[in-house]
Amino acid sequence: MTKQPLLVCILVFCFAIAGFAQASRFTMSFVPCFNAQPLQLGQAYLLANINDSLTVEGFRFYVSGIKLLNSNKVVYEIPDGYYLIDAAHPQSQTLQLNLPKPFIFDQIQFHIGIDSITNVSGAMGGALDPMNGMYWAWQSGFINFKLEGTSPVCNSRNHKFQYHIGGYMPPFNALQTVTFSCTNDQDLTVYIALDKILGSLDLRLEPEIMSPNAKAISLSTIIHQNFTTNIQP
Amino acid sequence: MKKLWLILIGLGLLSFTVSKGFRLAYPSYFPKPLYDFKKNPLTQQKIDLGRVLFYDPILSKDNSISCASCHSPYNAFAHVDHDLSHGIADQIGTRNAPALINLAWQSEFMWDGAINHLDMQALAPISHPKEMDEDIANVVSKLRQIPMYRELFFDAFADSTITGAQTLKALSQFQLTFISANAKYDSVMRKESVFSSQELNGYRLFKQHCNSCHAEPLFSTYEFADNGLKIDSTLNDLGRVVISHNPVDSFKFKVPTLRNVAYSFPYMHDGRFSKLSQVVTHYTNLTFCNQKDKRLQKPIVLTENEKVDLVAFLLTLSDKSFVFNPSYSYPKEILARWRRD
Repeated sequence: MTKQPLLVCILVFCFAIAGFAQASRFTMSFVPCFNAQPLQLGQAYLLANINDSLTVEGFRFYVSGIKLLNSNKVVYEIPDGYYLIDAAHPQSQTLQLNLPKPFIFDQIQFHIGIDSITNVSGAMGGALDPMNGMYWAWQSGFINFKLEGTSPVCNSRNHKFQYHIGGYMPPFNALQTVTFSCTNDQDLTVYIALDKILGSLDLRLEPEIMSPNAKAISLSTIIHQNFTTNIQP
Repeated sequence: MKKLWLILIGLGLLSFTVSKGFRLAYPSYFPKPLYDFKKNPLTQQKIDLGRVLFYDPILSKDNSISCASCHSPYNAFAHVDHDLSHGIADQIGTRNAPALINLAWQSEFMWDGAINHLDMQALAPISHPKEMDEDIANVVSKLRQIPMYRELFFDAFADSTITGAQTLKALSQFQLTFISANAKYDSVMRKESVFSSQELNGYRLFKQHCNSCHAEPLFSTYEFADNGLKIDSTLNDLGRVVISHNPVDSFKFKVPTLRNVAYSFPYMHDGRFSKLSQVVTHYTNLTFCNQKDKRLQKPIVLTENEKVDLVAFLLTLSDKSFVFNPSYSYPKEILARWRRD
């Protein structure tokens, strides 16, 4: 009789261990790159198409709506997963995704940015807090992707370039969704080829895109193309 | 029996949003609020915090301008005698600060609907260079340095860290209490009072000519409409189209509520009219304008007496208990708690 509580404790302990063993984890990292090398904020790079230098001072973007797929079917969606990836904060660049139990998946899909429903849902904390500087005050909406820096060629005050890409309302919905092949047992690294993104722009005459418009949409598709698991110079 | 009837009528008149902390009362003839209270349940502590923030110029860059600077409770939270908003360092904006009334029934804010949620509205004046010229991240870092705010946030959110989202939610909570439903019009609807014959004639004319945009009981559909105002060439304000990018939205502005209209002069998005009679005359003279809104295609013909009657009806939308509600005024009793310590 007296041994019963001990027995219960042991059983609970065993179940807990089994529970922990059941849970699973998937790691996804983001590496902003310039010329296929990890980006150094504040470092001057030579950009071939402008034949001049540029410096990236800030780079941040949202990742949300992460889904795991098997044979093109969604098998698991990360609940309430909104992540602000910031080149200035290396710890923000690795996401540890907790999965309830091990299961087979062969693809991962996520948004670069914030979906339209979340855009109209009022004030939210954490990664979505407007104090993070990723929210437009003058016209409601999240900034999905923010890339800022300087280049002598920029025809702007202090030679700055500022690309704040967002917008959730048609016809200017800048949300992009990317899909990559992956496996349960291997971490995934996603590279962002900033040299290619900046190389697609006219830094001289168009150093600023900062509102939901056609230019933002076309840049968002270029951003989409330059999220890759296979970086090449 | 009579008593039972009174109780039944009383219960029928007031419906409540379910929330543990605070019951928001509004008449049964109001539609359901659009604000999602589940995401920001009202509590007295959060409302109090929002009220302190609303009156605190700490929201502006040089600590000179508060929300109440341009939204005074005594003018139904509009800016009396200012056609265009007057902000930091005596700068003048491009639009008339609107009255803040029955905000829980609106889903798009500002004259052009640039803001999609009440929670996010405060960000616009806070960051506008001609209004408060501040940044929400900096507002939060200023608030964090003040022991009173650390306590008020702790009371409200069980968290003294202070975040941007909490600041915005508290401001929403205070503004959600701005319910005006106690004008003479409302007492007539509740059968507690009757219109004078002049007001009654004005009400008839209102229903005939105005109600399709300024629909009862909120006195607005909150749609965007072109009411035929000629563009002010000093402002060249194109309205809704700038936000929607849809050419049909050119010169459209949000239809404002007519509740408390006698308190919230001047009128229109650019504050061009200072008197209600000028507004009425604008609509009766519209036949000469290139008018786009279908509801205004038919000329509005009113005799001088009818214009007076219509204005008499509009005055029945004045809600004294709203503009003089002590729970909307400067929060001196809340601030006094900290002064004493």
